[in-house]
Amino acid sequence: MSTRNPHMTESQTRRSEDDLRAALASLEQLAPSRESVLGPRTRPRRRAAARLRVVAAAACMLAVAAAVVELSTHTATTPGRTDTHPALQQAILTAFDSAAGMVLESRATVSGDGTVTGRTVSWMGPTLPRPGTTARYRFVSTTPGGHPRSELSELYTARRPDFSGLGARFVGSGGVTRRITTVNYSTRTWTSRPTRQDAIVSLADDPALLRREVALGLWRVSGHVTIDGRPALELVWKASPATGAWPVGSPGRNGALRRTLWVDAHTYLPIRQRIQLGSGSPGPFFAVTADYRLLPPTPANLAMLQPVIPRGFTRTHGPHGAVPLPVSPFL
Amino acid sequence: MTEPRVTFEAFLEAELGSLLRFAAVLTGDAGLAEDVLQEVLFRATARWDSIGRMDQPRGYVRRMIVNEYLSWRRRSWRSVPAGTGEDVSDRQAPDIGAEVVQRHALLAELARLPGRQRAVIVLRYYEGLPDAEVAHVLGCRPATVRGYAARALAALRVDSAAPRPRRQLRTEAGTCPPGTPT
Repeated sequence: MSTRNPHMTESQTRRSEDDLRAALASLEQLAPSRESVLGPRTRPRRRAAARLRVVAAAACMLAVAAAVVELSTHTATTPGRTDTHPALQQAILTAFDSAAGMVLESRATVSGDGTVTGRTVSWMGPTLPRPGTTARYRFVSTTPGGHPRSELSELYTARRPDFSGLGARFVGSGGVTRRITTVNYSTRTWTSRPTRQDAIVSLADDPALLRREVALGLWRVSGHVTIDGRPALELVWKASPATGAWPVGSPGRNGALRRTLWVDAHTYLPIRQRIQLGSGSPGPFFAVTADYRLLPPTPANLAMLQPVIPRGFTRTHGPHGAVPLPVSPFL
Repeated sequence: MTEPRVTFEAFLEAELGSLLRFAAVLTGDAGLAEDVLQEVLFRATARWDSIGRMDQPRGYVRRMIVNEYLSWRRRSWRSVPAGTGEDVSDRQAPDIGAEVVQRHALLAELARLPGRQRAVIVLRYYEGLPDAEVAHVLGCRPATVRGYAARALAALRVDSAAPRPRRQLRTEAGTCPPGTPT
């Protein structure tokens, strides 16, 4: 084990504890920078683990915490300020990217005029599919009491999120054949067919849209809150018809569309989004509040992306064999 | 549930610098230090509610770093930072100080130590921990630590002074955080 230098004598090769301490201390110069540990990675890992990128977001808080404080101060004292601090913006983007391969579960409550009219649960995986790769989206709507109404499952080839006009509801296919499966619980029918139409996801279920909007600086921090005991940052959507940043085809073009996003104050991953349309009394004439969970791509979680056909349901054919009941103006 | 005594942000502000250096000395490799520290901080954030309430969060995180480093070594990844001792010795030249050359040779030999022996050396001579606390970090008995140290010092041809001087650097002896950090 020990190496002997033939040019040295035995006495020269003996070392003291101080020599050892000095040698160890010299290794301090190898210490990585704070930025390399807390920031986005710039070199491949020895051990691939996408989840580790979360730490970049989680630990960016050294810089971001100060940024948030500053931003909160500014938003409180400087009406009309709409900038998103670059450090915070980058932290959120990094967090989104860290979850790109996970499954996004969204559980939403849909209400109209202050009354709950339905609930939805959806899964998207991967959360941020790379263009040209296969993605799945499954959307189940239920009554307020939880009884299923309809189900929509899509298998599609993700396309580049160009967001022309920020029409992010159309997320994939791009002319590539995809498959859509629908289940209609009222008629007890289902259909599964290939289609060349673009895949559609709910506005509340589109992390690619959220990421794109954050990158474009369309969200600004409005405060600190606690959601289910978790510290969170509240962001409000600052897009307006003038910016052209309305979802294509949404009633928001002609109405008052307000969106609020909450991200975890530690990980910067999305927790909840609320979309409100109109400001009627007693409440918005339409509102959806979606709670998000990011699930690891385990077999059990990936199975949630698969359509579920109840026993006894009849398969029908044709483009309109089983159309899910719309639960919101956005889907 | 009580709030953590120290927030994760405050902990990083106070300790990140020393943890960066410790990880570098422990691993002898900047890239590995970065990976190990990222992995540990990732896990620490998820469990900060409990870690932040400990008397010595730094000691616990340091223990996590050591365990993560040893885990990497067990996965047969091997750090070879600066060539072999023979290579370094061959590069001796009159205009290079012998002290520097010997230090490089020592570092190369350090890199070839088994992981736990290296961890003992770093904890003992860099962190200045007494053997009892080194044993706590590694989850073994003090006698085992002394055995690791003796073998490592013999391999490095370091003459051990007796009694061993103890530097009390950043250590808070007498507190043993519960659980085994992973």
